[in-house]
Amino acid sequence: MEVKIDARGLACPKPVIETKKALEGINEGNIITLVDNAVARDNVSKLAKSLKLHFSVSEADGNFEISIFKGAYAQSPEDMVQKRPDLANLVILVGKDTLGEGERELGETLIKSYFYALSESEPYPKAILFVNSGVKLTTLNSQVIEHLKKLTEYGTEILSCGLCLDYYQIKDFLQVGGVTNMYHIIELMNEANNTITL
Amino acid sequence: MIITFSSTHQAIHFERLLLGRFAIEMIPTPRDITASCGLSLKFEKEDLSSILDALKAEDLSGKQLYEYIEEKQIRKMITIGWEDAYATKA
Repeated sequence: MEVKIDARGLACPKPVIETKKALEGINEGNIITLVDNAVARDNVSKLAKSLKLHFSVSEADGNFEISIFKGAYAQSPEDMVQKRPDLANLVILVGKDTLGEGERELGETLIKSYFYALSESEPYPKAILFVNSGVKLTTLNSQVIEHLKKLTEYGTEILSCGLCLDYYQIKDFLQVGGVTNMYHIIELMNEANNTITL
Repeated sequence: MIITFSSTHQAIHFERLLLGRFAIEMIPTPRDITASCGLSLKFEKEDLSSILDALKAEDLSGKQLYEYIEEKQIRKMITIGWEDAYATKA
């Protein structure tokens, strides 16, 4: 079974919602979503990834086609063999660019210290979500980038809130991880066994 | 290599002094060191000599220098006296 979704011109997060609906509607087969921008492409790809489904992305005439395969063999034997360190089903929500309340200088030092220690401590979190001024940590000049990069190598998903990056006008300076929206943030937090808010 | 501090203010002061000039990193003090305010500066050994130069005018009391050594996959912390460090350098 193959379902095609033309999500061109649809505002975020519509392409993701439509793709998800279509995936839920079939037992086995391909869902092909057509989008006209890179953010939508990334968000739909992320959906496939989070559902552990195989997908491929192709580009033509400035549009992107994300083909997601849903089936009994969604997980290839190859993936099963690739062993990564265990991730805790834990999501960390970072709502500001310092740790704790008080003097900013100390807060900046503490947040650096936090991410250093986090990148050294197993099991690693499944995802770290950056919202509000927290997005300053994933962008230019931040001193935690290296720690966050290390975490992504272990499989932790690093996501920054798109509208927050936009608000602070630092969208072009993202150094690590992807961009996400509130629906995905809610989904990750709701599905987690534990969510820590910083 | 690591420098530990007896107060947070000292740690932040040293960080400001060295940041941008050397590849230093503020980290929580490793667990095997107990005498510390909890913050340490980490840097590569090849920068030691230049960092020692940069700290010449600073009060080094209450600050301790350590070197991490890996022997047969066991990490060991070696305490290095400031005087020894400066002497070896010269």
